[in-house]
Amino acid sequence: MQFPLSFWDISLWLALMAIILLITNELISPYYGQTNLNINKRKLKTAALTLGILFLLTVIIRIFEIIILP
Amino acid sequence: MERFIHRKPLIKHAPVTLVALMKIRTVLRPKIILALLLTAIAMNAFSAYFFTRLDHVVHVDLYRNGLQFNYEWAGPYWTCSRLLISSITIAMIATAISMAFILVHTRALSSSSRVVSCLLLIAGIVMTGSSAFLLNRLDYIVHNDLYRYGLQFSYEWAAPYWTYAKLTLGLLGFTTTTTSISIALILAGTPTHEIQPLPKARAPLKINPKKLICLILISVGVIALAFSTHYTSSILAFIGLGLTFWGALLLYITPSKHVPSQLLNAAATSTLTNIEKIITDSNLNGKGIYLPPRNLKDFESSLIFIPSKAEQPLPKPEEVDEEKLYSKNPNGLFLTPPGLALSKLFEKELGTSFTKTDLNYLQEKLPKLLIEDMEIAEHINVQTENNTLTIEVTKHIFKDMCEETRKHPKLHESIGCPLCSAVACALAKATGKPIEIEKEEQSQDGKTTKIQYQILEE
Repeated sequence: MQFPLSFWDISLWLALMAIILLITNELISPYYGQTNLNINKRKLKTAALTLGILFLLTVIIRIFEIIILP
Repeated sequence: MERFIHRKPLIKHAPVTLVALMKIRTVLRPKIILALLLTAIAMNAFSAYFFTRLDHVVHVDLYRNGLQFNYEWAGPYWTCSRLLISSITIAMIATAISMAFILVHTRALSSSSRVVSCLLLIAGIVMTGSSAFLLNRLDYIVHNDLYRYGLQFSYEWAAPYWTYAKLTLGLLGFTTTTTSISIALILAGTPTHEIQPLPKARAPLKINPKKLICLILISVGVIALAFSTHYTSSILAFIGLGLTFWGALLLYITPSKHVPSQLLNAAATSTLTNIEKIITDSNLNGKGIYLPPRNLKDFESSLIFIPSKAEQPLPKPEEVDEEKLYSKNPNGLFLTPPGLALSKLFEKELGTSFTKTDLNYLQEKLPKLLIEDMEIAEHINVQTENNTLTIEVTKHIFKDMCEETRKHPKLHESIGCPLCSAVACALAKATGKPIEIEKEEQSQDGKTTKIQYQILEE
């Protein structure tokens, strides 16, 4: 019994989700006239940025691993 | 979920039967505690995941580096490994049950649930601590016993092994800290010792279809994730991860309450009519002037002065009284602006009071505030020329209310619609000068409202 996704699978998934959410967040911005969407855009932005930061954390872990390898 | 507050006894001489039904309320910070406990559960889940990766390194990579299988090392290793996973799971379950008890405590005012939740959290900390101990035992087996069974040291397996071990240990430490803080917060919530009546009977549970769909998505996702672990299927894992993520995201980004704009307009119309009546009845012919903070007793408030005649001097600060309706010297009327609450909301959103800002700040921040932050309008153009400030607001949500204001000529001329009034309040505070709404007109297509403000010199 083992979780089938590796750390790097999750890292890639996080990157994809972060990109999707960041693009969505930009496209539904009120600056493009989308003021009647029933979505809390601030929370969407927070979620997108959180996923982006999580992805960057996985990248840092990766770099850390490369550095400690001789 | 409401935060509990200290309240004075509502009934001083309550009958004995009623007193018997009363309970002691405890002050808690439920939102913070629940958020901390959720973080602790998430950290435990991540530590379990990193441990499975570490286990994978031992069972795959170490064999490639000369390790020979033998029950002599595998037996204790497996025992420790199973105990570790069980400890983390028990810690997670204990924390989740403790969360349920905290919710019970906040809703049903049960004091015993506070004690139970604390005990469960302590049990969770003990389990997390034993997980850390077991991880150290496993590390000892890997770094001592396994070399006797042919294992060759190599950074190829050691680097990921150390990373996963440190991550697991770090997350376990983080979980312990978070849970300890939660316990401290729960214990810090001192009993009020004030007799409170039992809360009124709760309204029947309403099922929100949006929330229900989100919860179903999350549940199916979690089940798919559990099955993916059992069957080691990456497709199921991705499906589970996707469903859980989108379910949680939809639940998070859905606004809690949505009010149709017609409701807003219907609620405001009568108030606007009343203001019109007061102005007409008072025979006032001057234009409304938004007084600057220095003319008011409360600097954070706003007031409109409508003089009986045009060209009349402004009232002196000592003559201004927020409580009064009529002013005798000079003759006129004091009114609370219809946009005062909206301007306060602007201040809350910007995180500063307009009294601490200036015209440049307002000119710079107003478009972002109305478009991006509050989603009131689609486009805003702010122009300043000498003592005149012109604002063009396109496709704003107060369009209908502004049209309603135009039906009341006195109100429209003196005070303006709530949006115009809110901006006027902000301007009076930011410039520190009296403000007059010179003109307010709508474009032919009805999409744009143009407001002209005059910054008056005293």
